Amino acid sequence: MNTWTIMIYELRRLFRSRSMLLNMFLLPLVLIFLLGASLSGVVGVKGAAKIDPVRVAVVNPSGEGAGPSAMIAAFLKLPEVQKVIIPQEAESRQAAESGLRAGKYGYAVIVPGGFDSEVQSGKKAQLEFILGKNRTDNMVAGTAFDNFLSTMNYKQAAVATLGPEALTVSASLPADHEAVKLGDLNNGGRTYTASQFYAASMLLMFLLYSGITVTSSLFSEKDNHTLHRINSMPVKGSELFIGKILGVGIVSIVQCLAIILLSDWLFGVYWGNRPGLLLLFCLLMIIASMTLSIVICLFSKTAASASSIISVITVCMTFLSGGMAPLPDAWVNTIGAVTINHWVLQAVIRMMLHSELSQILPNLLIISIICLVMFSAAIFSYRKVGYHE
Amino acid sequence: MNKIFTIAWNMVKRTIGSRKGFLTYILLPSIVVAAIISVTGGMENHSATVLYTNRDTGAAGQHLLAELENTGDYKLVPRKDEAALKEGVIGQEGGVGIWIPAEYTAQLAHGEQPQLNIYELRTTETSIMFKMKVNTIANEMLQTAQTVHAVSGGTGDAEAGFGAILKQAGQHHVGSTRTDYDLYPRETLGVITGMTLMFLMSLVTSTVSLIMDDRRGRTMMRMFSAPVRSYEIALGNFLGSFMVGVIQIAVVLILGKWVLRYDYEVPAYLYFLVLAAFMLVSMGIASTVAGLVRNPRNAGMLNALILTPTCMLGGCFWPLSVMPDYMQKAANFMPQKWAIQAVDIAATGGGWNELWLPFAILGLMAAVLLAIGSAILRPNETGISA
Repeated sequence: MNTWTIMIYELRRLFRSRSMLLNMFLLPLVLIFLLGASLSGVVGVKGAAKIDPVRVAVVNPSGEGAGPSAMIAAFLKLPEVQKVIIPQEAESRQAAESGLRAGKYGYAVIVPGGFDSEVQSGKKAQLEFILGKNRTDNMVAGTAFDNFLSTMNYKQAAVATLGPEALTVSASLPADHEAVKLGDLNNGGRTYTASQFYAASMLLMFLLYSGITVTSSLFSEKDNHTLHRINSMPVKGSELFIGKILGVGIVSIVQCLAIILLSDWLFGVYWGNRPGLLLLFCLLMIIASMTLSIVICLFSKTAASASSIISVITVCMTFLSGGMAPLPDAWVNTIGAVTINHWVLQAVIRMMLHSELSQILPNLLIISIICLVMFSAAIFSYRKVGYHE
Repeated sequence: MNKIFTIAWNMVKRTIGSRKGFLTYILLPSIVVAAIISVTGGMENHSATVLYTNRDTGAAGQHLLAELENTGDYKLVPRKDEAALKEGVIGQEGGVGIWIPAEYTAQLAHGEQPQLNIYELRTTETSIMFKMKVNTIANEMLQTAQTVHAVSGGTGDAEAGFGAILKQAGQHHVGSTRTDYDLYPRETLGVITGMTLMFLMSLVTSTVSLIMDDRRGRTMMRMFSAPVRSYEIALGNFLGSFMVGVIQIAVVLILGKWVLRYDYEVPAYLYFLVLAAFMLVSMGIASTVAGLVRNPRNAGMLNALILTPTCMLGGCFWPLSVMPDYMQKAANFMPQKWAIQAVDIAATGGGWNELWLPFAILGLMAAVLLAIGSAILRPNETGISA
């Protein structure tokens, strides 16, 4: 009975705090929205919409009996090329190089003498590119010239194989044709989008963060010296402790449901075909994160140090499981595997993709073992340290 | 002036004067940041794993894979069928998967426009670049196939001719050589700066929480009864936490530069200045939040959670250029963006004629936020501990 009273009071306290509500319900949605909005624009194959033109030093000498390369000159005059490249004549390789170093040019292209005749006769012809100081500029100019060269390469190859008439036919290509489409990872059900991955990883990060609520709940009584008063009442220590933890646990469950439902309604994030199993995983995740923070809270002296340890662990685990910035692929299955997030994240993604139940069960087993270990650690440390002033 | 320094010095002593304080505020965070720097720096020359299934028996599929291998950016790993490929991508064994359908060559050669399938679990810079690359190669092949079609007029063995052209093209008679004088900053510099900024921001919270403790413990009230002016208290407190922050930055930089030997490609003093300016802004943010939220514990929580969205928007995790336009505009309001930009400008050799802008913006943000944030020094409110 006492446990219920304490739990209900705890719930009332938590739901009255405005900043807690902001934290637990608004922020995750903001994060999911941000991730979805920042990264959804790039799902198509098209590059960035606005590109600043790059000043390219072109060294195009006339040598070996031939004039300067007409092909390059013609290419540089194309309107779509002019949009991304501002060609600037440079006298020699040295001039171009020193211009690059001084930041006068963003990129340099050295055309060897007799480039055109080499290309037309099907021999080896290579341009030399010198990379400049800006990575984006290098990429823009490099891509433009590379595309030009590769078209020429295929043309040359065509001429070499089919004879000169290959040049006379112009292949008609629908302008907006995309030779690549994004495949659907799904095994039935709705189409999988990349934003689902981030939604799942954010949900897990916030479930881990719910540990911080445990800290504030446990330490506020100590700091306000109300724990003494409660201890003087006919309330058992364990009742108080369990009541508080239950209260925080219920808030975390509500938070988890809110994130799942709201992200579904507002942003159309699809959470898969096994809602029951999804909730089970979330519940296990909540148990793991809460028991983890209980252990940390019981062994640390101040609320500040406990919450800083918890937030460091949360950020590290989310980072290592690949939830924030992309990590090398090899990492995810080695170092990532030591995090709690990893196992649940994999399972949630499989559910989103309608995988077989047998593929999800190993993850369930592992997370259950983690929970069991953490739970006994929490009980052990409560027995050892206890919750009193 | 003397009083300001007394307050500031006291603040420094309280935070890092003891051995435990030195460990938790200076040593531990610096080691974490330095470790992240070295790990991310080590990712530099790592090539992304690409899973593929090639159902095509003709030349086009092979040509595509050879060209991808040729770029040197990808490590290609075969998977036996589409299901295994999907499974590999879901299990994150590779960043991207590409599936080349059966009869791809034949369809191309007969003037059709078959499509390749690319699988990704999430959008990353690598997967975007990969898609663009595959698209370019595939379009070239399509064009070539149509040329073959037009020349032969649909007669003869179109597939053989097409294959011969691709084989010829694979020799790259027309191509380019790249001369790289290492003039540009490395790819990881942005990520490393971003991560450093993120950790700095979370560190600053800890010193601001000390000021909050003063308020809660009513120490602030006593300070105000001493013969010091309120602006001296405000300046002293901010100066104190600024000094702690400066020491943190210095240790991180020294560890990174001289112990782990990471080359920042930016003069150390400039990097230091950028981080210091950014730290002023995050102090402002932390104290503003603390001023707005009464309960000190919630303030810490709110701060930690303001951190992630601003870092995302500010481009700490991925380059800003991949985001849509309106998000890039929103990024202008994030201090992280300007700090990263300043480092970028410095790394490409820009002088103060370009650098003044990010610094001015950071300074302005810091001034405004600190002015608002000085509200947390109000002595009469201890904050409710609901």
